[in-house]
Amino acid sequence: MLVKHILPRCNSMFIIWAWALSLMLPAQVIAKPLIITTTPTLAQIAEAVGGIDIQVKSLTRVGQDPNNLVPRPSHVHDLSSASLLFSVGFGLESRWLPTLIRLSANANIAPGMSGYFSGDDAIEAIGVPLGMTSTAMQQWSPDINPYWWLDPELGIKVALALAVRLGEIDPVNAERYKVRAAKFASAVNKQLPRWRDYMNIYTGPIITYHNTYVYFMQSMHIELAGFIEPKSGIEPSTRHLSQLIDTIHQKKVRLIWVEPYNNRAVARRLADAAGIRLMVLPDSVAGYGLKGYIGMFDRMVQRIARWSQ
Amino acid sequence: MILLTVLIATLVIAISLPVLGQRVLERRIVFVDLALAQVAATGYALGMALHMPGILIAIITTAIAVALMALMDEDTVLPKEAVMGAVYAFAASLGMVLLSLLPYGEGQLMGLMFGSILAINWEGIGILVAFSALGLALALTPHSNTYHGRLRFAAGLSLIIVPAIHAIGVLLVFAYLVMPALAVWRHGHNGPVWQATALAALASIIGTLAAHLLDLPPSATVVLTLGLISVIIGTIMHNMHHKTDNEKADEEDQEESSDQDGNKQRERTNDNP
Repeated sequence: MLVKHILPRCNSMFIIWAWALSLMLPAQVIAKPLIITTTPTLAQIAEAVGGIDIQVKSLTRVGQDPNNLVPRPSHVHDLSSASLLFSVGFGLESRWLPTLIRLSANANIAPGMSGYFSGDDAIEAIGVPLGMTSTAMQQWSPDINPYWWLDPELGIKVALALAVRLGEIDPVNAERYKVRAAKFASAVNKQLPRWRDYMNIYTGPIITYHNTYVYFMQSMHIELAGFIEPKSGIEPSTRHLSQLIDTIHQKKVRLIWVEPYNNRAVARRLADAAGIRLMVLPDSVAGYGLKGYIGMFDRMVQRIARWSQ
Repeated sequence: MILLTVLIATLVIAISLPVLGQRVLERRIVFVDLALAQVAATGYALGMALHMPGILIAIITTAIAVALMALMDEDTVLPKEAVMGAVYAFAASLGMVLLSLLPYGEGQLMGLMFGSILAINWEGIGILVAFSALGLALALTPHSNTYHGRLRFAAGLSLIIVPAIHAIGVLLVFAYLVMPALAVWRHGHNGPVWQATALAALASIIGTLAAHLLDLPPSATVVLTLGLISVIIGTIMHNMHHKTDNEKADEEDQEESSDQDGNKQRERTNDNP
């Protein structure tokens, strides 16, 4: 009687346990490394390299200033379970990222650890932009320029280095990461001559608000005529603006580029005073992986061409 | 050309803000401009985030804030500066939270309300002059501590402050509102309006030209110049007043003592018939 009573119970208990285990085991098997990036464009590079083998989340969104992020609990939560933190580096996120890393209590994503990867790990800081005189360079922001993702070739370099790092974190898929990074490199390289030709036809010297687009301009062989705000966050002088107006007339500059998140009012005033046009140029666009990254350059090139006519 | 608009814009606020600042100082509500600017900025950002005209929403939120502020009696037992500070903090936080709830709303939208002196053009100066004239006409009417009186003052104040901050930024507006009025402040009361205005105009000219020649940021340079001129002229005039007051007191003392001598002499003559 007792056996008869207990057996079915054991059976049902066993079935419940087995069911629970069956739920847990595959979950562990299919858990993909979570990659947290600081900007949407880095997320696209990570997606291009990691594909279906990783999960990617970006802390900032398209159109948001990556220099300034107001940290929220969800950011800390994301970082606490991250396998890899992929940041731009060169000081871009230095105002907010160290705090978030500390709060996440995830020792693995601290700088110097295997779960921390940034542009600094793969590339050198910027060289001298085209067309810049030595005096202009002295006035130029002393900060190291962090906007490397706007140079497609640097994007490739970082993607290749990221593939190696992902392979270390997730050795099972190491080969797949390398293959995808190589694909990314060839796809971007294939587009590069087209973008350059387009820019060669359509643009002359350009004035920009900050040094955001210097990498892009170098890569596309566009001459930089000057910055509206040479020192980031410090109001330019009236003398500097008058000199810029002179430069605009001398070099026949036809266009000013402004980042989506910078105050356009001063740039507009300068454009009106000099009688030239002002355009907002994206530094990231929505989209997934390789398509998204190439789409960003397509969008930039198209916008510039349209506004330069 | 940009130098000229910057100079004219700082001269416009040198005329409109010090006189208004004296009324503000008198009522001891100095933070009112920060509070109103923040309320407007919150409204502006919300409008932008909700795809409505930012300016319109800013006007509505500021009008509501003005109507509520006018409810506060001027002789209230509450410390009025603390109330203004609280309104500022509350408006800023409300804006932040509301923006964070929207899918693409960002804190940086709030910054769009705060302009730059470098961005102002002739049209902007025209608008600034028009709003300043309208605001002064409302705010400089005789003081009355009724709801209507307070409403008129707060409305006039916001008509000047909010467009000014939108056009040239909070730093210049706050400095021009309080520094000249403080420099001519005498014996717990406001000094002459012309002195405050002249001092501000002088700072506009010297500060703007110095910033241009020395290649410095104009807003901060003009504020520094205004601060220095205010301290120097304020100290000189304070000492002069102090001297004239002392001289007056001395004269009165002498008069009193000569009166006393006269009385004594009279007494003596009375004693010696």
